[in-house]
Amino acid sequence: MDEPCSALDPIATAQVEELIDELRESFSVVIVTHSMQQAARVSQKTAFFHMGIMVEYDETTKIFTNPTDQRTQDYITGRFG
Amino acid sequence: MGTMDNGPHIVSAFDEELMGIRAKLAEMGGVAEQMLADAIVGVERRDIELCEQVVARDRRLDRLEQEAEEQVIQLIALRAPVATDLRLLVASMKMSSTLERVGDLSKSIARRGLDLSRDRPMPITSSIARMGRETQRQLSDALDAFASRDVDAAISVWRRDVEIDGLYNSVFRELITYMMEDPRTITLGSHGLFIAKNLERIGDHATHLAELTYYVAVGEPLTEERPRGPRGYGDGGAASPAAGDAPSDDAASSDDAKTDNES
Repeated sequence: MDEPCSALDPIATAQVEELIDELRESFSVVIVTHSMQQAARVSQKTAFFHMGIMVEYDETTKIFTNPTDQRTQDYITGRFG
Repeated sequence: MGTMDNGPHIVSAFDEELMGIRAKLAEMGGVAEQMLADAIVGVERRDIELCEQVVARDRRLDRLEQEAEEQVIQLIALRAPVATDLRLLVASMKMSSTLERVGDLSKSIARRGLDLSRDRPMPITSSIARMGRETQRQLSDALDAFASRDVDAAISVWRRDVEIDGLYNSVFRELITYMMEDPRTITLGSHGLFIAKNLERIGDHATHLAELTYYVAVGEPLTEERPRGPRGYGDGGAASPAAGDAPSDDAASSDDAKTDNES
């Protein structure tokens, strides 16, 4: 899914995220998002891409508490765009 | 700290808020250090006025803790911090309550200092003062390590706690000896025991500050086995004096100063 909740209000977003959660019982779901919070909420694994290169891929919990790559850290904490 | 090491945020207000929390913690650290220093001098010099100042100053530390906590909660709610920012904020919250506990324990020392000052002098105060200065050094080094996010300095504080434990054991032994020799010293000796125990607890809190510094910088808890001296007390070990054991770590640490700060 490419930006499945782009421009949606919080309730519609929550419904889509709930659907993703139900779908993952039977499918692997890959979503592309620019919302850090959404990535943290819906995923078990997170990959950070920058300029077409995959910088880091790890458990979502690890990425958002203690990422390995400084570029990931700078991006998710809002230090560079 | 985090803001300096990692470059500025795009939203500069976030940096300002993080700096605000760092400043608040530095202020709390300063107040706690001063309370401990004054409590030790108060006990050593039998200075009633100084001891009373320490007791009065605890309210300021309580207020600062509350303010720090409010600032952290607001930042978590409004900025949704992650990674190094999140670690810093969680550590800040723990650090502010740790420093508040250091204040409580220093207040308790000062209260007992008041009782000691009103009674006849006791030779033990010099050993307690020596232990106090070592504890002061640990607290001060732990705060410096946090401020400069110096992992090596933090680990060094963490390792040195064993020295305070050793001093505690020798003060304990010395006091028991006095009390056995002359039962009239039992009241003063008991105050001395609690003062030493409070200092030992402050040492443990300094160790906790060092662990938080490590966590903020490295992202993982410090799990290595900490060096321990021969315990001797509270574990029924061979080094226990005939007169009985000191309160064991487990019993005394359950709510540390709470059992001892109002007497």
